[in-house]
Amino acid sequence: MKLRAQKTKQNNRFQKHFRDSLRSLRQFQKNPFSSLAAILVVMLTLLFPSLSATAVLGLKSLVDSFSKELELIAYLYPEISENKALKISKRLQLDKKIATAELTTSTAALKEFSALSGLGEIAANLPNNPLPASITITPATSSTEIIEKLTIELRNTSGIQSVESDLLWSERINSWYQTLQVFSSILSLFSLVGLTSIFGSMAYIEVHKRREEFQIIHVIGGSMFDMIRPLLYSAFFSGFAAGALAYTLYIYTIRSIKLQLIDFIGLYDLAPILISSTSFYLPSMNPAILIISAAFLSWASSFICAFCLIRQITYK
Amino acid sequence: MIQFDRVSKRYPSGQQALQNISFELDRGEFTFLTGHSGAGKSTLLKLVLGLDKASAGIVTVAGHNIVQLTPEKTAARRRIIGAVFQDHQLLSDRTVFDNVALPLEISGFSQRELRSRVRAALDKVGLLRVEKAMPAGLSGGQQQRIGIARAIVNSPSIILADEPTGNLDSALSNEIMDLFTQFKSLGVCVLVASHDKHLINRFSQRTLVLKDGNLIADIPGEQGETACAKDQTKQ
Repeated sequence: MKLRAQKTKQNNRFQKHFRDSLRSLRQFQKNPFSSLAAILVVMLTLLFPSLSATAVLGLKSLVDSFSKELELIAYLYPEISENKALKISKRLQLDKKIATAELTTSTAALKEFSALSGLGEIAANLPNNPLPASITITPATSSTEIIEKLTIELRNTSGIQSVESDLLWSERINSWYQTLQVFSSILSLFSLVGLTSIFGSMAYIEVHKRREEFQIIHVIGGSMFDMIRPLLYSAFFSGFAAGALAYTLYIYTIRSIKLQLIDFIGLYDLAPILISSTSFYLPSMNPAILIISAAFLSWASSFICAFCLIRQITYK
Repeated sequence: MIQFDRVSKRYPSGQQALQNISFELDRGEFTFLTGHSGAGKSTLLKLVLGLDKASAGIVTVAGHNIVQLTPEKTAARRRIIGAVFQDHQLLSDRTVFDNVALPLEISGFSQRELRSRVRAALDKVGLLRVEKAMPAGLSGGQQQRIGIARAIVNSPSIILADEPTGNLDSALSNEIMDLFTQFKSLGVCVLVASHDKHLINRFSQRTLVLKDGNLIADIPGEQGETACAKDQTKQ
């Protein structure tokens, strides 16, 4: 008996939700233009922070790939012998901050230069080898702070004349990344406020339009949820549709700018790094995140606004 | 079914709408609530419906003290009450059928049961043939009958009517009152607020007379006619 009553209660609840969801969908059919306009506004509100978040993630991957592939080249004094150069290289390999240290002797450097430059004959006729020995160092960490410290240490190491690194580029991109991250956070916050306001005002208009209906429902025994449910379904469907549309437009935008972006980065002589690096990508957002968060945000903002308004209309 | 125990209602503006009202209405009892405009009739009905809270005293509806219930429980309790209003309170953008179906939708009835109950209610008030019409296209009498169909569709234990014949001619008023007396015989407690002395005299039922928020007379059925007439003379 108790089980049957429970089952009936569940059926009743399902019937209510089913009816209200259908009624909400019919509302879209009744007002197609205003519904579409609202969905498009929400779609744009969602699109901008999504794109900026993707740009932040893309830049982050760029920073990471830079840090991972960062190399320091320590040039030794020309008078350093090959044996001493080998000793310096081996000593550096023992440093915990260094992953690898590979010595290129002055003879090997000249050989390489002769082969790659096409100036082999000229190089062979030189009275002395003008190229210094060098040690290519891969840091054990991607932390720019530690790499900076390591560079200073290397500069102070006896036998090393100078140290060159890509650290400056890494710092520039990192600075871009941090700026964009702040911008993206602010944009997301504004969008959240915008989205809440849009759905809040939509709920406000709807509640005032249906004021009489809510009063009647209240008098004949409808609860707050009986009044609010159709509005919540409308908001949920609008949010869902806006999220799905925003995702479609987002994917299209990302695909359109991806190649342009690689060309642009190529202007800064970074293209070889980016193309060779498997860690660089322009990450696409998970569609579920965008659609579900859009539907949830619209539902929640409608709930808060409609709840307060209906309460004012019916309980005061 | 309805019990008022020393109930008072004072609005925040300071107006004393009801003062120390006590009475009891049983199952299957038909009662008129009368008094001049502003005597407190509508306030009393609002207290029964739980749309307003009493400032003092106990309002018991179907065994529950309505003052102590939460808004959700009060709403649930309201579902055993069928309310009829002078201004009909129908939804203009829904058909007659949908208007009558509203209480059943709230109660979560299945589509099949909902359809059969709505048709039965519309049949009872003689409006089955206009179920697909919009209320605005119907006469005042028909709109009032839609309101009654909506009040009875959920098989309520109590029917409250606030000036249900206010805008109707006497033939239609009699027709509507006949419907109410039929519910009395089905065990429904009917409370009709009206200041129409002719109507009250004609049906000679138990009558509660309110004046300036005070219950000045509780007249049993058969004597209702004379007592009411006396009260009207006094006024």
